Amino acid sequence: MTAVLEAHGFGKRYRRRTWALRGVELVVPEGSITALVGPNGSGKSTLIRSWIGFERATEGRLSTGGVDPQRDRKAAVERVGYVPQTPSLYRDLSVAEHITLAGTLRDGFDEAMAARYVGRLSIPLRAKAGELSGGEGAQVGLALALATRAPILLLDEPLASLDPLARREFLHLMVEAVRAAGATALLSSHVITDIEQACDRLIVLGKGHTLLDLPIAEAIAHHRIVEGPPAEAVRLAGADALIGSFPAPAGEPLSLVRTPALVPVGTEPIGRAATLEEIVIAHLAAGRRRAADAARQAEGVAA
Amino acid sequence: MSLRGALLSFRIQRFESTVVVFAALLSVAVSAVVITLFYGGGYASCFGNDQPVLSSLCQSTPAEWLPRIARLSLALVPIFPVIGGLLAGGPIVARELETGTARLAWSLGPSRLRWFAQRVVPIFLMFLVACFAIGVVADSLLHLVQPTVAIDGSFVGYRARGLLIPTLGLVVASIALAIGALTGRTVPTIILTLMLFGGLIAAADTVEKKVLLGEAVVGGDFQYSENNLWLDSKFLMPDGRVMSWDEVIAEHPEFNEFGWDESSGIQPVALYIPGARYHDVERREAAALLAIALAFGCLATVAVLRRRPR
Repeated sequence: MTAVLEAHGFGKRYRRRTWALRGVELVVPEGSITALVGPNGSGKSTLIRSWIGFERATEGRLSTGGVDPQRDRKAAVERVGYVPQTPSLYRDLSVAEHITLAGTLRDGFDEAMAARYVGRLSIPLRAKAGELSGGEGAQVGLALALATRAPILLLDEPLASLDPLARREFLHLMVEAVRAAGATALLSSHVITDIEQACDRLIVLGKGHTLLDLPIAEAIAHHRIVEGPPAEAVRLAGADALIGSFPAPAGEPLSLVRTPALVPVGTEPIGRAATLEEIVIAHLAAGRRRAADAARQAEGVAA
Repeated sequence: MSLRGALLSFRIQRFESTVVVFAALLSVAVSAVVITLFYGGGYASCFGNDQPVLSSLCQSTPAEWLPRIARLSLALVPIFPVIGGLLAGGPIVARELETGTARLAWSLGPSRLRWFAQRVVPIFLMFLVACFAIGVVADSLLHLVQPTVAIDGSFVGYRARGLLIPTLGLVVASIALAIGALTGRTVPTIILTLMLFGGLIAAADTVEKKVLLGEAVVGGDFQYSENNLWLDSKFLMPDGRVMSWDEVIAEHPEFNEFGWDESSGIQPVALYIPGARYHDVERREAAALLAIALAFGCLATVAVLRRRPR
């Protein structure tokens, strides 16, 4: 497995006080479409911006396509197509002018490809960016990023403000283009159903740390849901297997347990299969609980 | 930097570019009309000597209004480099950071320097051409309003005409560019630029006066001439020293009580720069202002290369 995005002991602290991220260890393999999931403030945007050289690491190191974005930001940007949460297009420029602008800023930018993608989405090239809907703006941002022909695509919550249809179109275009180019994509998002359809790997960030980093198929195969309180899950799977508990939408307690992918013949698997959303929620809940425990311990030591 | 990139820079800053170009074109057009009518219509003969000319031509409305329009245009000239500089330089980086478009541009283009040059060079060139035009027009209008003034040998209208208009404009635009790159906010950029420019001009005045005093001609028979740049009035001592009144009083306290005694051999003198040196002084100040503009330009470049986008 060749890693195209790496973080080793990476930490970012703002204004000498708050750590947005600390001790992050993760790799994104080449050719994957990886989902980066985490609650607000978990440091997803900081990590993505750091990979493109927009943020400087406080500690640790990063690698973007084999280069350190802090030492050689230009080389890092050359390897990356970036789509932020809000595309921030030039309001008075038309879509066609955005494509031209990108062509003047980047050697090798494929203007014909960008125009083709935009055309496929039925966005008029003459339309001014200020007149586009949020979804259309995001699509234009994606078309520009794809037409850079960069081997790595970083998408920082681009789906957040999109309606379901626009989200589906966005993901379809992204997956198709990434697969066709053999590129690698990292998609940060809150929308688990979209991730499940588009991505093949999952990274969960919480409280500045990596909580889970697995292929999605493996994550689903290795987790089961026990319907009941944590004690029931511990009884069935053992204390070491319990990851976390959380309430179902109706309020009944659910517990996520780690299990082997294969169970011996004749053995009933524990509980039921976990959905990706349940896996993410349980890991986030567990991460929050660990952070709260650590804070309590720190307070105890200080007292 | 390509022509396409330059044209897009004007499109991105369309409002500011339009205002600067329109103001410059309007000024040039109005001045051209005034100058053509003034000289072509024979009104120039009405001015140029101290005696009022009572011909019907000189009593006509155009003879009254053409110089008025010229004076008004001249009065507006010093404002142009300041307002134009703020409009040209302020938004380039500040607004892009504020609206997030810098993030898009910096993620699309690996070289921020290329983006910076593409954004700055066309706008600054346009602004410089506009300032040059305004400076030349101001020279012509001054000649119209004050025909006895030798434009190339007079300090009349100093800093409000000629080469100093584009250089002052460049300083304002560069300061605005640098502050915009540092703050990433448009309104604070405008306010801080005005404050810094005011302070800089005050400091430049002080330094320049000191430099010019070292080069000043000491004239015992000085008669006020609008062409010369008067700097100070002093006293020439019999031993050749040039002293201020306070220094003279310190040596001759009796002058304070009984008044200055002409028989003492102390002569009042004026320190001034002859009008013939106008272009020397103008070029030197322009060079100093260019150096300041360059320094702020470098600061803006460093800020763009190092800062993170919003």
